[in-house]
Amino acid sequence: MFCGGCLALQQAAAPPPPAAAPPAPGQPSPGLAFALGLIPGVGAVYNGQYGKGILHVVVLGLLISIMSSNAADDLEPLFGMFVSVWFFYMAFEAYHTAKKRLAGERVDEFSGLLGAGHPTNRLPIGPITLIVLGVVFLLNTLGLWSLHRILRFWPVLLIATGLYLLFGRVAGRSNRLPPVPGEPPSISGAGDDREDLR
Amino acid sequence: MATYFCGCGRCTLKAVTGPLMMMAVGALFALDQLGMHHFSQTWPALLIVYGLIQAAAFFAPAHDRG
Repeated sequence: MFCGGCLALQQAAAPPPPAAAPPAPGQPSPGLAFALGLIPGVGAVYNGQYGKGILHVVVLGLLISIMSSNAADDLEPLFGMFVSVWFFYMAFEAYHTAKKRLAGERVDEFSGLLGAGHPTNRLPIGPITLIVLGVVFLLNTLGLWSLHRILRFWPVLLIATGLYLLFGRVAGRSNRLPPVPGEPPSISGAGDDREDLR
Repeated sequence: MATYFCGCGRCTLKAVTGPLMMMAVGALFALDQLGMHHFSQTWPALLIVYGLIQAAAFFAPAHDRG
């Protein structure tokens, strides 16, 4: 199992293995993956990603627990939306992973999640987001700083996004890695879009 | 599906993510059982732990070409 960055570097270093044809009898079916993906965790398990399947179930359970335990005071509608969106996320995620597998690409255990990122990303946006969210929710649930008062500062998100984009434009110019042939497009990378945004 | 570990820091950190998360969940449930903090108060710590592991993996050296 290679992580995404290592896989890209590996493919850059060595020529890709010739004719990585998927096995004929057990070909993954994206449609079946989508249907199974509506059942929590089963779509990922169908793709052989057991860790991701467990993570899907844990996240769904957390969202439902947050809704039913009054931990998200007054934010139940938001978490209700998260729950419904999460079902479709799991289904589409399994669909796209099955399509990748059908195309003969190797997918690792946690492919496509907010992750360790891409070699061309200069800031770990996914991990930073998770840490900030965790700190905010922890302050709220421990009663140190209520979510109402934190949410008043939501325009800070706009400023931070602007700063990140600015950072990408100014700093990411010179040391862009050359494109790797056969590399899947970056999922977590806002940094990769900066050429297209101009 | 064959499993490969290239042994670089990034892959190692990604490989131990599951066990570390399970230990974090266990620790929070233990706090709950001991009556110190209810799980509804401590669950955001899981987000922080996962984010820290992923950030560490981001900055860890990736597979070296040599």
